[in-house]
Amino acid sequence: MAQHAMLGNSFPGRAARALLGGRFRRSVSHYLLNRKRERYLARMLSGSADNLHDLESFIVDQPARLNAPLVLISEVQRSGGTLLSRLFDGHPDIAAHPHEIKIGHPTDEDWPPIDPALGADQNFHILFDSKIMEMVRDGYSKGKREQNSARHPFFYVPRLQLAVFRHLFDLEPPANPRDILNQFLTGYFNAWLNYQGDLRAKRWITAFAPCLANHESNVTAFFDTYPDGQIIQILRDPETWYPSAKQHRKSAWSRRSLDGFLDLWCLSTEAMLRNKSNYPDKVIIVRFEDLVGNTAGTMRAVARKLDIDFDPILLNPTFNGRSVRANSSFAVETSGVLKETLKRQKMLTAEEQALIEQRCRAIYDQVSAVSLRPAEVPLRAGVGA
Amino acid sequence: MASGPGARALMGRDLRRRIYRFVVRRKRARMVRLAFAGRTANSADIEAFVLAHPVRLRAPLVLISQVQRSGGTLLSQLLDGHPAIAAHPQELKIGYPTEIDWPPLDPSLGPDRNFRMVYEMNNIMLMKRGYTKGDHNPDRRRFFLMPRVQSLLFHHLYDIAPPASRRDILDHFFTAYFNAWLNYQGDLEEKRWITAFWPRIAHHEIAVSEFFDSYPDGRLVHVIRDPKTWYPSAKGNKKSGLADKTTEEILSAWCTSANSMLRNSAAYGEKVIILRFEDLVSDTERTMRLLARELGIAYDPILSEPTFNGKSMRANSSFAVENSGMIDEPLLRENTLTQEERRLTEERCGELYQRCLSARTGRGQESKAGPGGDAAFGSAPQAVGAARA
Repeated sequence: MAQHAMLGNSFPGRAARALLGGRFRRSVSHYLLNRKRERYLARMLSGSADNLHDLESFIVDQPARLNAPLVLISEVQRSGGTLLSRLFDGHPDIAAHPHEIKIGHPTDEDWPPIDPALGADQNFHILFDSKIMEMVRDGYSKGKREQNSARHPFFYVPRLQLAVFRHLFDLEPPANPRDILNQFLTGYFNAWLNYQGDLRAKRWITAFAPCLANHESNVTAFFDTYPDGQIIQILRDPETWYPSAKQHRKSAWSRRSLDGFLDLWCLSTEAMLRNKSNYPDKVIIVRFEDLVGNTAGTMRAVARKLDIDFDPILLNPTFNGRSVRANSSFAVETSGVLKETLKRQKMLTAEEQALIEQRCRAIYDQVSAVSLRPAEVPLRAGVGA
Repeated sequence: MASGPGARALMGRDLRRRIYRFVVRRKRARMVRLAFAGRTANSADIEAFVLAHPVRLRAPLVLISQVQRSGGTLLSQLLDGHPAIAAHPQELKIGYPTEIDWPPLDPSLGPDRNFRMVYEMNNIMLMKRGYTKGDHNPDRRRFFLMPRVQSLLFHHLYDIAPPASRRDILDHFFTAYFNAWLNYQGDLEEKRWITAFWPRIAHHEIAVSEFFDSYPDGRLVHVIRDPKTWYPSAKGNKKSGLADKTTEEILSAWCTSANSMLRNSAAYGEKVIILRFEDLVSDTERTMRLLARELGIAYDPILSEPTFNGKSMRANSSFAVENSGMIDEPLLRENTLTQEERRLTEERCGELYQRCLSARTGRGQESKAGPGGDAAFGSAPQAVGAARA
């Protein structure tokens, strides 16, 4: 076989084979094959062959399609949105966006004005999150406190996402914003090379976009795009929220007064009340205290709402299937759900406590009353469940 | 943006902010352009991360080896999904200078020569076309193993932890292999065994001796298949290299394999595990439970389902296969034998086959199956059909 490959089946090839002795022919053939192999190995190891371009061809040819509806997690920061995202992460029916989704345009708090008429590239530019790129080199860690050892690989290649998106846009021109988002998210998860899980099995996509649901027009646009979608909003007691928010290193927040912080909290909480009233079956309000204090019951109730099986992985915060530490404003040593977050009100001064009580208590109680009740946990599930 | 306190004081706060935003936005737009062109957030960044954060893999090797068409691929795929196992996904091709030689690795040869010896060229086509098992299988699975990342990591590990032995070199090889397999499903930190299927290597006494020199803590697993069902499968598979051989030659290949199992079992005792193909197919759970016990890992139901990189896989049959999971048609292949083939098979292989089964029973593996475990190991071949769970 090898000789045929070397000398070909033409007349000169057949003549050469006839003239050469069997052993000699084999030696020549081995030598040529080895030389070819060495040359190929050198090209491949230098990266000039068999590299990302080959992966791109494979993925563009056979993308795993993702047309599942979106579960949007949205409320003011420091309320547990990241925690809920991480709890969803490992479920086999869920494709969890791995960090805050930044599809807002022109600002993070505007629903993106995508339109099939704009063409592939312009829509992609609107939806693309440019801040994500550094994660490829540095890996994922939640909070800057994580040591290098706790960094998780995140092999996401924007070029691949764009290639898949363009390909799908050409192949099946989108008719509406939902089609565009389906293609964008298909591109995203296919370009995430080390994604753990089977995209074909996904029934929901989950993503955390802080404050996006604060604005009525955004929520309307969301449900226009995802009539089968859900919004989950997490309500946190302002007495434990304020110390966490105050401690947060985000520069935009550092100069705020107590009143300024409470404005943010009230805006988010009033939006919850409005959204729940406008879309009672599509908006789920979860109390942060339930999520942290009774994770098992809360996640069971959430799973029931989303019509997915309860899986114990829903109790373990993960990134791409691997356990992660909590995203706390305070130093964290272990992975898992932190109960300490429920005790942060001890850090309040009397004046702070009084102002929070005066400004937030009534609306907190009102929203709390329409929140999701944790499910009962079967005794067999054990103490930790 | 302003270089000093003087300059900053000269500018109004708003102006400073606006300039800052403009510069940040321009920088970001440039980065986006680079990313879309593949010049950042690309393979170089992936390499940088893998080199900075490799997950070391020093687990011992479970080598699966026997004559082809005996269930080696099936066993590999049954082991694939277990969280404590890093399963090499196709036939291991690290033989050097030929594929039936244990590679003569040597720390003094340096990283480049050692890597070239064990580098598996077939990864190239797998990466380009995806993984598929069997000619009849239209389903292609993603296999993103970047050769350059593998090579760079191997060289890097060689530099930071110079190997002192063949085993160290193999540890570096497998560490690089699994870290460069970008879409590998599973956590390498949890792995207690590496498994790999290398057909026929265990026929050779020297190769087996070198395997146990490198892996004194390793295991050699043989799958023995009833020659009456094996023969039609070997003859019907063009890739087996046996399809165009005479009946005598084909049966001779089976006998070589069976004899090597007896020899290896006698020489290495508990480190050699012999499984019966018929048990693997017809009583998968019990067989895999027993194997898990031998390897000291917890039984997981995924051990009873063939998977590739954690996803369900079709069986690699020489005959057309429609469904994923276990198929028990292989056990009925005996019916396709001619009278002459049946006579020859019994004459040449019958007694040897019984000796192989007895060697397993004699080793006491049967008793470990627990209550009612006699169907899994050492039972007579004719009892196989009835043992289906």
